[in-house]
Amino acid sequence: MEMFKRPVSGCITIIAATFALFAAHAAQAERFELGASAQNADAVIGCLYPMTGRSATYGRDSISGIKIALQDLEAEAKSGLDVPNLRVIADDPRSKASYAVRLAQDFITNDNAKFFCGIVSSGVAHAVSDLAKNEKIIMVGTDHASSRLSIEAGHDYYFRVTNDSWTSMAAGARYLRDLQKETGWKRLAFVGPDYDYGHVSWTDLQLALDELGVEYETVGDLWPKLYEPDYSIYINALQSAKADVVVTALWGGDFIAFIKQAASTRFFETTRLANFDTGANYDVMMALGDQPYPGLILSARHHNNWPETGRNKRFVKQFHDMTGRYPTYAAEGAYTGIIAIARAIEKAGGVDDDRALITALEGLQLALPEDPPGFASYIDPETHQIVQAQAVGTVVHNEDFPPSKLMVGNWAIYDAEDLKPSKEMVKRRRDAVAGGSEAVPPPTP
Amino acid sequence: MKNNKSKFSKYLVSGVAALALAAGAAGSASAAENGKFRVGIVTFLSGPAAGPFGVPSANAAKVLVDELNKGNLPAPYDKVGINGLEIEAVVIDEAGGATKQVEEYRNLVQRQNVDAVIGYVSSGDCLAIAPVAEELKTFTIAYDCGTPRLFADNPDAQYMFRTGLDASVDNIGAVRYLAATRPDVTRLAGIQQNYSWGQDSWADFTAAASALLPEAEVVEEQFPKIYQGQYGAEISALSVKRPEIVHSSFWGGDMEALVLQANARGLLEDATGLLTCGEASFATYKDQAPNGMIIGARGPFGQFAPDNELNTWFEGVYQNAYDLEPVYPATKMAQAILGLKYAAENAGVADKEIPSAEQLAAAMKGATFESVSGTVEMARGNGHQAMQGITYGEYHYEDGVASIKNAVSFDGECVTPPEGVAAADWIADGFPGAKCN
Repeated sequence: MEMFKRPVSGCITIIAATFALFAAHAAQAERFELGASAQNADAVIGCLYPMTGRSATYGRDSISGIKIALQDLEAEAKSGLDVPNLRVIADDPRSKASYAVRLAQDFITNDNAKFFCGIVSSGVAHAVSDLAKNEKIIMVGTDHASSRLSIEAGHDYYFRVTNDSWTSMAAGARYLRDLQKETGWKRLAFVGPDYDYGHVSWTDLQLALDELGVEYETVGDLWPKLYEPDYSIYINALQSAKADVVVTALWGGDFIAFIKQAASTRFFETTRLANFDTGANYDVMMALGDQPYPGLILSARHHNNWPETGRNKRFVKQFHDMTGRYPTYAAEGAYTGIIAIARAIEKAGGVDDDRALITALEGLQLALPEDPPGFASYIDPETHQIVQAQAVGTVVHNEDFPPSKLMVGNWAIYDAEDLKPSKEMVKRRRDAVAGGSEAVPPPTP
Repeated sequence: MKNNKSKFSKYLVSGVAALALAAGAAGSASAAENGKFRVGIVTFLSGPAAGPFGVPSANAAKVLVDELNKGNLPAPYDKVGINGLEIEAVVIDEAGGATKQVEEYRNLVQRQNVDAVIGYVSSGDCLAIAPVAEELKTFTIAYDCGTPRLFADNPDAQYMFRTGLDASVDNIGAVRYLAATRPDVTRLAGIQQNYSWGQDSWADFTAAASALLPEAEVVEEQFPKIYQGQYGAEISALSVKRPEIVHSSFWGGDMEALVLQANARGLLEDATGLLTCGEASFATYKDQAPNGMIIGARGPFGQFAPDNELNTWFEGVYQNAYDLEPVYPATKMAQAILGLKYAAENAGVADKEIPSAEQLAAAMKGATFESVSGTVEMARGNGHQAMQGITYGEYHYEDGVASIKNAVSFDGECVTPPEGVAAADWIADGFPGAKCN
């Protein structure tokens, strides 16, 4: 009856409903359901990964990583081990925080999800982490890296199982310290995407360099928007600033675009470009063609050619056998997320006790593909951030992982324990947010 | 031969059936009455040790007794049966524990009138049987059990012998293999069944490692219950310590479960498994064990048995009968039977006469006899314990074929403590008198 009284409003309602229906269908088309059926699952994990746009590679590879984890768990069950039966549902938040929150809420309401996983964008992750906290759903972050999520905004229900921006920048700072002894560089610039991850990365790098006592001059910090198509003005600005070293937190297609555009100038003749968190990703290696641009210093949260352990070789081979291509680091992160959840359930003896699950995850040790010999990753009970080693290197010819003709080599390896933020650092940053200290540069929005 | 296999398999898979067979024999005749040499054969016919140990052992006993009774063995064992007498085997199930085995042993001796007993995989059973063998004055050969305590606890044994090697040899040999093939190894871990076998094995292994691999450290040790079956927590605990070598003295179903589960959980991708009893499942691992896993056979048995006439013959008849290569428990059973035959035929009695237990013991004590594993010297345990070399190698499976690669052998005097010296003391003193080739 209401509709007859307000026909225009009614039309809008119908149109909105139609859009919602299409949107629902579209979302449904992007949705992946993996592992156990709803009836047989011991736990449901709702994951959010991009399936479209510049970061779709990360989502696609993450889904493959999840499939490998489920295959491994199935093999463990067949071998006689009592492993949990997991159901994983993945959907695309389209890099939009509000949409991600809605999908996550649907995971709880419609799918009875016990865990969240995934999320590439740190901005989206912040929103979903808040939901996880409010709804008491354990969130296991597998890709996004803003250290603010675990340091300033950390809470009982949030965990992250890949290197964060602090870890990467702590490794990068050590690399830059050692490089300075070799080359005497002084002038440092930063270029990062203009959202949480980019800004936190810059903060993390400065803090890490300060902790090491590295002396340098900041000659610029530049903030292109995420998915910026044209970096020419930023490249010009960096050249004008005469930076010796440019550190960037651009990632994925953005980083590739930046390199390609920089390579069309004389940028690499005068400047070293370092990307410590995502730069050595396999999609970057492929995009470089056969050009090992001089001065590139790269690392990533997982490498196909380091460490040369049986577990890493096995993971890379499993991925290649499954997909016919080599993985980006997102795959190993997603794999780790599912394995971590499975091990936590085993350790807690089930999924009914949230506190037992949180306790199981706090300090959980995992032997992972990215762990070098003699070390196993573990989740720091203080920050809920996984503690991992990191390798930083330069680009070398390597055709072991075609179609890429380049990989990172000349590794400098940094021990995991050295890369942990100190307790004092964590406290100072948490206090700064709470208004108790001005000692830390405030995280930018 | 197919019929042979299926008929025998049927009665092996059921301990009850095997016992019924023995009971039937008891009612019919004693050794003296039917003119046969009656031998009690004791091994696991049920439970987790039956598959990898008991069935291959009983199969070996069956085929060897059949062939001996036909006089088909190569020299010096070409005389029919034992000393010309047809052999009658009474096979019983070792399952049930030491108390039950003592009872079964008494039944074998007192009611079924066996002339000798060959048996025992379990060290607990061996330790329980040894004093009873002395009490009942019955010639008895322990064919597989590995406890070094067998003659340490029974130094005056007269009737008890062992033709296999003890566990100290396994573990000293394992460390010598690592020192020979992986001298730079630094991170060792172990998973053992939590009873004397596992604890003693690990103690010998770690002591020998500290002497021969001084750069290596033990980064993790796990002691799950025997027959636990699930080792997920232990495998994860081992994995996160990122060892290079994971040593285990697991045997039987536990060992097979460990390999499957450790493989599925990726532990054996990072670390090399070293299984002192690993060869027992050589025929059944297929691609479920990773290539490169180090396995032992508790001596020169199974895949590590030498290429001599006796072993070639034995492998041939075993394979014809069962379509499988004999694994080490089968070789060890064959060795014990040949040891008994040697003793009986060198006891100084007339043809077709059954020697007394004392005559058998006198012939066996300190003897040197030829076997499917080469020459056996009863050179330890005051002449009651065999001394032989040991071999380790890597399991490989390619194109449907399992094989051993990188095998390395060590002489008996390289891995066996001198007479009267405890293994722990010998290791602690730096292996004085060891003769290694």
